[in-house]
Amino acid sequence: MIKTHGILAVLLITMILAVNSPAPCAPIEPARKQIPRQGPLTPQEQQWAEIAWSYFLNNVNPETGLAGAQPNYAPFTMWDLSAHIAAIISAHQLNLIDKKEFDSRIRKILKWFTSMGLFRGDLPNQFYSADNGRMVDWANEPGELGWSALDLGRLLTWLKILKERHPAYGELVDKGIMRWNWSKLLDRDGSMFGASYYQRDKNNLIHYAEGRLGYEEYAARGFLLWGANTDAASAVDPYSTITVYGFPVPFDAREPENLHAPNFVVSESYVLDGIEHNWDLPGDTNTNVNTHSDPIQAEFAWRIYKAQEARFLNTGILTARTEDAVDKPPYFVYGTILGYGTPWATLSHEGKPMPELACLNTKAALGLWVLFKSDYTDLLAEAVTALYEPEKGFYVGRFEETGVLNKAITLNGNGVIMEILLYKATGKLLTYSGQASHWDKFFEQNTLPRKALPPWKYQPFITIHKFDP
Amino acid sequence: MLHGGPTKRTGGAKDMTFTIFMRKSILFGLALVVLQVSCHYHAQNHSPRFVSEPATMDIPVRHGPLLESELLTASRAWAYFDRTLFPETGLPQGAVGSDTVTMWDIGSYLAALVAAKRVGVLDEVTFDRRMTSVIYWLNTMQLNDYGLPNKFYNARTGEMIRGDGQPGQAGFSALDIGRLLIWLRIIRNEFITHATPVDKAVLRFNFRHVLDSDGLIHGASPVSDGTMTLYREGRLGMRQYAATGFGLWGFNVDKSMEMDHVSAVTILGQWLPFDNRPKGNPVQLGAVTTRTGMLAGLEFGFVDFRNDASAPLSSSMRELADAIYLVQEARFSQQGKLTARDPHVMDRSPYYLIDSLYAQGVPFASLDGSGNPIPEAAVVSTKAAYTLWALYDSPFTDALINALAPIYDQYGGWFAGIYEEDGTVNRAISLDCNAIILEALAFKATGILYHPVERTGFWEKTLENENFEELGLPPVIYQKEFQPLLEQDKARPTP
Repeated sequence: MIKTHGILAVLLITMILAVNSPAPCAPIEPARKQIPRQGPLTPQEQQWAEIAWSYFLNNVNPETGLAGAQPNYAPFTMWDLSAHIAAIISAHQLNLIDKKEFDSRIRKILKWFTSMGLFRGDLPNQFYSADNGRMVDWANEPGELGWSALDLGRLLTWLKILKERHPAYGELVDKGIMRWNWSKLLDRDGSMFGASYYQRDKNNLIHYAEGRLGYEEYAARGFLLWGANTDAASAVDPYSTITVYGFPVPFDAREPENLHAPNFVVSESYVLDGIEHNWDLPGDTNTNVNTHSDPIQAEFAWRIYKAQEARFLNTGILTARTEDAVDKPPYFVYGTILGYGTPWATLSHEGKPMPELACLNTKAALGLWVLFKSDYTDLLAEAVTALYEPEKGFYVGRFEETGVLNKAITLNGNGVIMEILLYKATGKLLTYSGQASHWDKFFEQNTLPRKALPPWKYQPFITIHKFDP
Repeated sequence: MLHGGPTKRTGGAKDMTFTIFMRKSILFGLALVVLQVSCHYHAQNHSPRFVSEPATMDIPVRHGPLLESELLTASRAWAYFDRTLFPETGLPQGAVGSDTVTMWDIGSYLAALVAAKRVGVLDEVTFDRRMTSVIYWLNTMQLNDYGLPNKFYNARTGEMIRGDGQPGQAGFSALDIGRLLIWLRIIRNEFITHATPVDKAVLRFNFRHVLDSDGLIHGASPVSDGTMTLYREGRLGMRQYAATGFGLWGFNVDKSMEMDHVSAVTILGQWLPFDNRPKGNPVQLGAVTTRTGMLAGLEFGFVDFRNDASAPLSSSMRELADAIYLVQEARFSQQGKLTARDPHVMDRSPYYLIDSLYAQGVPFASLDGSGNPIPEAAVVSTKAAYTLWALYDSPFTDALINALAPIYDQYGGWFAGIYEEDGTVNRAISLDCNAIILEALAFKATGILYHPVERTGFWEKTLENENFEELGLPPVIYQKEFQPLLEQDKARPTP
């Protein structure tokens, strides 16, 4: 009895101390180095994958196999198509779909891809409709607009990932890309060019060097993977930095020439580069997620993470910024770390400040979560993973100012979340099979001069005149 | 029996105004400790001692996974919030049929959301949406001329209303705001995604009138000429509970936490402390009810979680709760009357009744809001019963819950209680009642509702960098400027 009381007394004292000490704080330790999250998915993470995949269960047109950028919005871009392919590959790897369904979904897309209408017969248009696979404008009306080199760069990355992971589809992929006319896409210096009709005037197609620091380097990797020279696009110069909470955040120092090249600094380009390429140079077969053969990109990504973490530590505002859709006009904004030199600007495509539309962004939060293991990203994941609609997918995020949900649900957002989870489960997404593909073998013997293919033979002779009225 | 044990705790004595309190606080200091461990060490040894011997303070709290029937109780309570929600505002009705809500109700609604999520009757998506909309409302609601939440709002329109339901202002209640602040604090510490919006909502409030420099809380009430009058709000138990809310947000509430103006009576052989102040103007009855002692138990385990809090205050809250339990249990064991008393809504005039253990000199008084006795309207209150049930695992509380088990509404929500007089059901259904039931169940399932983990966030960082002189923020700088009310104690006659 006495012994019991003794033990009890000790316990009691301990408990009194425990409950009466000041309320403990949960300190948020700033991250000291970039450590990716790696390992099999927990049941909870598997559930996130299921939520993201539900977008593709509900929004893929069974006839065309294509998905619109948002529910009830049929137009989609090549950027979105990349996310769609990423989602299918991830769903298969994460055991959400079997081989048969994977095959049927991919084949539908490739069937369309190898026969799709091209802008002026040259390159994929900016928008296609998931309803019928035809070229449309953003309002889903038939029509041609031009092409986006950034979107094509990402698509090339994902087609490469597809063909390296599943060589059976390699030939179809290669044939699809051989339909493209590369003669107005990259010039001899390795700059990427997009094109648009000026004010939708069909006689007035303008060409412009597309992409600024971040997106430009990320998209360039895609072209590099297919043998193009991207020296100018891949170079980080000219860049400058603005120090945000002590971290020098890099931004493109070139003048914005037109609306197609805003120098906004957002998380997405760096996150995608991190999970798809591991901030490695194309062709690097390294699969160690802790070493990067393009260290400057890894460093930039780190600063972009640290600036956002520091904002939280200094203001208490959870920050994970990127471009994304909004559930009200103008329906798309850039939530930036730096936008036209202003930290934390939220801007419309035209550069109009819209601070009330700043969001804690779901895909950006999870992207930072997977690439930068830290107390802060634990919080980010906790904060965003309940932001979904069952059977529909993750929302874009939560408005910073009001705390209201941004209820837009996007193809790209959910696709990116799937590839984030695949990265956690399997590491760097671009891995190499080591097999020579149809593309390699074909261009050993042949050329397609009218399409300026292969790029390594024709690109040195290409000059593209910028035309900007 | 622990009462006979030797004690070494004397630290609390100097805070107690009355000697009887002093003696008791020593004893109950140990009882606090028992509460902490009882669920582990006494659960098996606990034998029913109902009637044969008086209950002692080693009654354990309820702790453990919820039974099927308890989960059903929780879903039935949660059904109230599905039934009464206005999607336009995100607010539920204050009671079925009444659109009026107070900040107390909003606090209860937040509590219900959190508790329902913890016990698992509310999924994370619905939780998140509802939480988002109510916090959005808090960020956009009209504030009254004091820069504080008005006493009443219309849940349907979200607008400020007067007591009569018409648009207008009705002053503010520090008790209501205190409860709201407690739950906002719980939410911002636990749900990071809502933390900043919660902080922003509180950063709108003007604290200069609701607190004074000593840390007493004040309310404001309209007087006949249409102006407002500030008054010291809160009586024993409720004042300390509400002040905790301000304390958690960094305000000095020392004066409010003091156990002053306390006397005690013996009812059915049991000692019961009460607030000895006159009812004053506006009327504050100072009724001893179940919640006056026990909300602090459910939510804080009777522990004072303010950063510099002293333990003795906590133990006296525990004493109060135990006394409230013992008096009600005594009435049951000695007179066979099921007793669980709280202020509650009624399905007939006067629609709101303060059922007490002791008020205005009368044991087991039932009074309307102005203090007129209506003894025939006394009710075994559902929310009081569940509160007692959670904090005291005893045959008495089992009996209460058994008696109340059938009185839920098929359309959602638990009825307010059973009339003591004839055993008929008081068919009024209120927000607060169903919220407290969820709180009690969550207490059983997951322990005390406040989690003592503080997160540094938008609130702290903003106040580190900015001063809001008009609002009296941050309190470290401005609270000493808050005007104290004139010392009223000297002028009033001794009772």
